[in-house]
Amino acid sequence: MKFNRRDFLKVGLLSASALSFSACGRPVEHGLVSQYQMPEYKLLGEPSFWASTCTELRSDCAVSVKTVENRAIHVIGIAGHFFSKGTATSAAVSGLTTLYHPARLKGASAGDTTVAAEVAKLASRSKSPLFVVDRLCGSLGDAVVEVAQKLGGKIWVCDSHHSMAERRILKAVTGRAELPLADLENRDYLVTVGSNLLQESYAPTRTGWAFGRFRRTPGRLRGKMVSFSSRMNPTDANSDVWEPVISGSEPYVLGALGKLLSEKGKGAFPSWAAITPEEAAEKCGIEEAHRADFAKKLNKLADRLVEARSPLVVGGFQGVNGETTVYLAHTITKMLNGDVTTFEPDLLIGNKKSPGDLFINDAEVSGALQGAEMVVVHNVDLVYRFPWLEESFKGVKNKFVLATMPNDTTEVNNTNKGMTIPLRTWMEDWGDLLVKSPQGSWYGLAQPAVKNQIPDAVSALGFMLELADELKVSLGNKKTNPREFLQRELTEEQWEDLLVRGGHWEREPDSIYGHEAAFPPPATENAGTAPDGYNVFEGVSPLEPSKLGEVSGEGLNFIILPTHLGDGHMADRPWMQEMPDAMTTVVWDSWIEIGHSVAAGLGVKRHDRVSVTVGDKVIKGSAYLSPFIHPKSVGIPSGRGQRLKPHGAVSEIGWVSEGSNPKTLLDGSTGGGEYFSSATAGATLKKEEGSRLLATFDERVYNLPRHVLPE
Amino acid sequence: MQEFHGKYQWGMTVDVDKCTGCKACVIACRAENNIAVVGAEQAAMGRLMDWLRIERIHHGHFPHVQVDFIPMLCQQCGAAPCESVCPVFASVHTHDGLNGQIYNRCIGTRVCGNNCPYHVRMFNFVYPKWPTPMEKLLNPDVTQRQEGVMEKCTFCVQRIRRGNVDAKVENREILDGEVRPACVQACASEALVFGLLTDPESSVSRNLNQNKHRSVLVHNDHDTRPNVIYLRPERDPSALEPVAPLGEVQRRDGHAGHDHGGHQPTPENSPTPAVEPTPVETSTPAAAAPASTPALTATPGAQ
Repeated sequence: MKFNRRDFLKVGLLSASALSFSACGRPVEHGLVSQYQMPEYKLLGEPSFWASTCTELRSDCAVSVKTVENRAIHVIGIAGHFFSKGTATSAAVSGLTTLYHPARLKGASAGDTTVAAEVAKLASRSKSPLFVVDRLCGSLGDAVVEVAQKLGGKIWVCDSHHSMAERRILKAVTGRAELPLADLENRDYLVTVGSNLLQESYAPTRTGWAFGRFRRTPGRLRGKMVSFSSRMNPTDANSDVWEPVISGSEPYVLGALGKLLSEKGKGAFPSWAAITPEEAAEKCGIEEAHRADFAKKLNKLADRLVEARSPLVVGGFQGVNGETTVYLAHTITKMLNGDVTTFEPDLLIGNKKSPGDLFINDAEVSGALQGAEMVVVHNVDLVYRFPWLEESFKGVKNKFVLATMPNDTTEVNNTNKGMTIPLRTWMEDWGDLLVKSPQGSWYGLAQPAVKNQIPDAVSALGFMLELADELKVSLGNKKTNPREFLQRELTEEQWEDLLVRGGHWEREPDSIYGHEAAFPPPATENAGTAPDGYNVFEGVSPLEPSKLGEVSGEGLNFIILPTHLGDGHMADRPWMQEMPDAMTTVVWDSWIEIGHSVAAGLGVKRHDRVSVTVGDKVIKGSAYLSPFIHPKSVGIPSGRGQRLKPHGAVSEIGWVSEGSNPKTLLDGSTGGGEYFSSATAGATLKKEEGSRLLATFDERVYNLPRHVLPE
Repeated sequence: MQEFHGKYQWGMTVDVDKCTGCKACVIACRAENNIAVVGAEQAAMGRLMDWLRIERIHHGHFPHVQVDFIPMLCQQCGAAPCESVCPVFASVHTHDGLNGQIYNRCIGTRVCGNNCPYHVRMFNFVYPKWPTPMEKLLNPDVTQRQEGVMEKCTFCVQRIRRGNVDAKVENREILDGEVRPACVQACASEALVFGLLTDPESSVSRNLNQNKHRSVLVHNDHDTRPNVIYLRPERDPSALEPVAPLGEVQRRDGHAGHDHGGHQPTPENSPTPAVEPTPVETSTPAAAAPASTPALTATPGAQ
């Protein structure tokens, strides 16, 4: 066979064409990839999705972190997850800004000693330590418990949910020391009292999904919702009827409701809490002329709850009587349904039954700090959140603060010869958790999606393992590497599966995009409207609006308003700072929220400077006149006003958190309960000189020159 | 009657009854689309860059207050007012029904922003800054905009194009749910549903048909023919009114005016008399619709 130059060129061209065609036509791989996938198999610029578990909030969402060339650019929920339903919270996504924040803590900031040496010192000073943690979950929580037991120390879990208090309450009501699960998808009637359930539940992504089902499920009636609170929060805003009551009177609503339900044959209600609807109206600050109407509303509500197929009553810790509110709400839910749905997101793996005497509550922490020789603070801005504990904290001789970002606590710690240790974020660290819910249990694995951005940052689990090793505490094996520690009891096949999926759970069939389950063809047409008599307040005359100027600035109730910045740990995230507040649309600043009536009495307009005085403590700020707050209340949002200035500032963009810390007006009172109150009475509002513009967006002034901040 | 000229017509339903105002969509949009942080000073001047915002609309006065959270984004209008006024054709209509914005054509006249009744076009008054190492957060699939350029929601067109490529490579149609914008992906309560309006079996079409009695188009009195369809909250049928302060809410049957049902109008938001709501037909492709079926945006007098 003759093979000339022309044939050679033909074959060459054909081969090159076939090669390029096959390369262009190669299907692109999507979805989760294994940690073991070698870099040479990755295309440049092609994203990788690393499965992990977000530990920003308690929902413990299964997420995949989208990375391009080893940098994380997005956090996306894993669609097949049966509990978090394939979504991710704003806290999870904004965690990216913390990951790459230029102001992250770098290096252990106490002298020239290494972290390992400090761990050894910590072990040697092992007399009565106090561990201050935001939560206890998985192997990390297991290690904290073991070490605390070994050292004879105590643990204070101080999350913003007051989860330990809620566990105790539910233990009293149901016999299970677990957390409440808002299974709204199974409910047809919801009553919230002083609760911001939709924003601050223990599992926000799942609660959001369940709320969608509660509102709209084809073939079912639309779920009804009634709220009572002293200031409308984003959850109240979603209710069909919002009934404002004076701050601190929330349990009286439930006391009257429980009494009525008991009289209607729904079981026993605690006699100490039972009051008549008329008495409740008086306690709730209702004018005398309208108390009969308020009592009628409570009667109507009780009737609807009796008729409802699966009602849910939720109480919140807001206000001075929050503990009682939560207890009575769970009690009423149990009266109506026979039980309260609970789940457990913080289950300790090794210590499935943690000793109760290891934990202290808010009321005991001040004494514990004063008596402690050593305190270890993990992921809690103690000084910002509890200013009244600052002096006690300073007085502890040996202080160890583990934090990702600089905050008020690290500043106080550094100036008081404490040891501050930089932590990795959840996207850089190993961790795990085991969650138990009525729908099933799952194991979540948190694994690094990107390499550690701060070379000196330590792994939280690694730190505790080192400490345990120094103390000769057995945690199941001798491994001190977090990854090996988590892998200890798994086969290689199981471990690889966990790496790829980010945990283990039962998949929902045909729900890869979530839509199949969300919108099945309706069995019957959803009328979308409630039948006659389903309206709670039908036939009851409404309350009269409060008259302008009738409320003075004296003797107001001071309340702390919830924001998306949470307990303040998200204040260093520019995305979160620039996200308008749900109710007021204010960004980058604090405000003092007052009702129109008290404002009219004092001659205050929006943006005017006003001051709030409680005892000898004063906060000044710009006024925001709100229709959402009880006229006898004044509120300041939480999350802003850190003393550390600039708070993670970057030169060109003023990422400085303005505002005030509202907790400085409180005195650490627990009101006879076991958690710190977030409200107080006896506040005085005064008008001050001048004004300062709040950046708000409820006047629709987006980048149009014709209206720039009216008023 | 609006006709879809292309094979695909992307659309979205926004169920106001389900929206909890959690703003997960807002942050997801920021992360996906390289939206700059402008800082406190610029924000105070009303220059936030959010492509998607949650409008907080309240009715009444204390204590009779009702609030709705309404996600407001580019409506990807079928007859977009922004497109017709752009002197350099930076605002263009794509073959799949999107309002495209070509950044390197834009000369920053801001006419499109002024002509947009939804206030969803954002102008870069200052050069967006990404201080080191914050540029690591940038999504390489989305271009960075410059000072003097108008920008807006694209329905995450980069994801749509990726879906187009994948479908073409595998020689198939785009699957329902295969393409989802970042906001839809992040929405926990499934208030946002995205898909092909031209596919009667798509999630968005089925959702629309199941809730057609609640569907409204915002500002359709301007004959904008939006492809974002809002589903009213049942407790307050006229709750979408204040979202349109420059005009009136138009129902999908094209009748102007405010729907009314139980909500007590306040002097600020109800200057016009109420009319009874009527169910309207939605989301059936024009080609497949019976002759008597009104099309998606059947505004009288429309072309």
